[in-house]
Amino acid sequence: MPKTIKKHKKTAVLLAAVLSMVMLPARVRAAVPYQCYSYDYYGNEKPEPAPYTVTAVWQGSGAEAGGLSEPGDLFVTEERIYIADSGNDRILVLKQDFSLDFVIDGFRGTEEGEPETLNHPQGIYVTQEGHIYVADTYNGRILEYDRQGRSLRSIGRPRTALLSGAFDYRPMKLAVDGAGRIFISAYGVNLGLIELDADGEFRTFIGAIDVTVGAVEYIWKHYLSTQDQRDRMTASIPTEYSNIFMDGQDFIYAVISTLSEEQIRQGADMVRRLNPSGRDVLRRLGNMPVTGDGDQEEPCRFVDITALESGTYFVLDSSRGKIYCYDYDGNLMYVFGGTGNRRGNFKQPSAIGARDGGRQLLVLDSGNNALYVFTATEYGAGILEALEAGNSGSMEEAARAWERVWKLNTNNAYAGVGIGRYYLQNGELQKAMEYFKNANNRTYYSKAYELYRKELMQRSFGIYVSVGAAGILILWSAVRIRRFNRKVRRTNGNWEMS
Amino acid sequence: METGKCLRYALYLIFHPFDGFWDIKYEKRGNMKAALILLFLGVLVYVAGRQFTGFLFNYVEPESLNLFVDVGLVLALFFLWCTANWCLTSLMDGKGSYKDIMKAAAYAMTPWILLSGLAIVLSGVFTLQEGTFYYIVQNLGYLWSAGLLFFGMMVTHEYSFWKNFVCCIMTLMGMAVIVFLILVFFSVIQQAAAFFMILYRELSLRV
Repeated sequence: MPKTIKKHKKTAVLLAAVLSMVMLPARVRAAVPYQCYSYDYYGNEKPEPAPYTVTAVWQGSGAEAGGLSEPGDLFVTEERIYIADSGNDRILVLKQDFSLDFVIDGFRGTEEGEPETLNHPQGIYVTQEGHIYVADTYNGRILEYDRQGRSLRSIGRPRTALLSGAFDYRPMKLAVDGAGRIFISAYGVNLGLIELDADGEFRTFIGAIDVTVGAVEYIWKHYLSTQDQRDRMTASIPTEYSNIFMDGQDFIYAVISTLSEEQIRQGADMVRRLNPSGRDVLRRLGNMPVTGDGDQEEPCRFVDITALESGTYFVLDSSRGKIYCYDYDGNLMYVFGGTGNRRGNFKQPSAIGARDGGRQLLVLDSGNNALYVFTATEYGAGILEALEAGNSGSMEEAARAWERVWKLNTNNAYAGVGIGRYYLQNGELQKAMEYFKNANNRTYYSKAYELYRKELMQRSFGIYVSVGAAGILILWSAVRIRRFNRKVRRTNGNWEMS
Repeated sequence: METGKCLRYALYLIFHPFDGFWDIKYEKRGNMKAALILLFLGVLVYVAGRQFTGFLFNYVEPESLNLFVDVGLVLALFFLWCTANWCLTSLMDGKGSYKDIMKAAAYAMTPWILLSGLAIVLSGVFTLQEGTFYYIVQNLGYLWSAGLLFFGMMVTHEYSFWKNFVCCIMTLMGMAVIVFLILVFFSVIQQAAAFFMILYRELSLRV
């Protein structure tokens, strides 16, 4: 008998082992070839779960159209992907699934005759109606095509006295607003964006990149430096925006990559959001300025930016191949990406676009001649959803999304604040305070604490008053008793003396 | 009891600095023991401030807290001041001995100790909007103590106002010089040690 039990025991153990192996959930690990991190309240780098993974690397459509060559710009809509294939002097239009839709490789000014070729087009923009605008850079013109890629018009050099005749006009990036106004960033123009009206006539420059000069630099430049040094210094004046992006409200997100290190250190803006009159209205409420990794030796070189409906935006840095995600207030959500040789690493990223509400990020690499597809993980999607809900004002929905994010990463301070705000709104002040404290958010903590203190006072005002009164009474009587004792002692002493 | 009286004298001194410091030196109203207790309290209040200040006013990164560094900082500043001041005043015919300087400096810390202690308590009560009151209390402590330190030195050394002013500025510079010398000294020692280590290794490998 004992033997059989033993035997059964053995099988039971074996069975349990097998069962546990089968039933254990398969550990899903997002192995990504780059580091994902963010910064905590004290400015320390801290690791983050991967918000995006590389799901595809597209390197051309094979026999149909061949590969890419130094692609310069990207425009992504929900139906199509437009690539300015600069090195091949053409525009590729892909369908949603990356199959080739059509190619634009020329401009047909008149019905008859050979079409004119493009020359290194570096910028592309597609309007709501699907009209394709191309910055035909080395031909010095803007071209417009319709949805099917039929040539519509060509807009040449803007007629203005502000650009001297000898100036080489090289439109680089462009955007078109709802009213048809065209905004162009051209090489070497330091007056800002060129604004053309719907007819292609020059109107004005907007959003000039002004740089405040620090006192030390001013003295150095004007009094101490030699002529030779001064000549070399002029090269550090910021010129054009490296890329622009028009969001749904016709506000222009613009990035600058030609700032010098000192200018960045002095707080020059690398990212801007220009309103229609050209004023910078980017919100900078985060713990750190919107400059990517602040304290790195080599500053970031922001080459492109893309913004979502919720005001969340992604900035692409070409110097280290990183993507920085900021929320509408300018809080750095996370950083991911990197240069290298593994699949998913960049060589020289040049443009970024988003679709599906940011669930997919497309990044163009002009060094590897490839288009990378990044897909949001559960973590990344949770953050996006929370930011969307927060932007539309639904705090409960946001809190639910943040809760999911929090489960994946309890270090995420924004999740803590999101959940805390929900509790604050619902009057669960102590819980709210705990979350705000963990998230190191003093502003919200203070708000919650103020209410909590009020509540506390109202609830137990009587107790405080009685305790205080009793304390004063005890103190007062102690003083009186002591004084009395001293008096007694003194009279006794006097009596003894005499 | 004697020390207790001397400690209580600090409360009189902070309102009557000229009488107070004079009497510490000449009337033996304050003693060394009390001064050391005050210094200890100063260390305590500083450490407590770093650790127990309420969340809203506490910007110290918890992971960066180091008890030894905090204690050392207060002690180092205190003795740096005393030493630099003593070095200078013995050249500028000050009348105070090192002990006198220490006593005066320790007694001058009193308002800072009291108000910092109060500030720690207040930091747990105020919100950010009322934070001004917290900072007023704290800064009042700093200013009051600095003023006391100034007049304490003036009385202890029997200086005129301007001479004392110059002396205090030079004391601050002297503190910096001492720190610099210490750093240089340690760096030299370190390099010398490294040199002899290498020399020894070289010899032991060859011979």
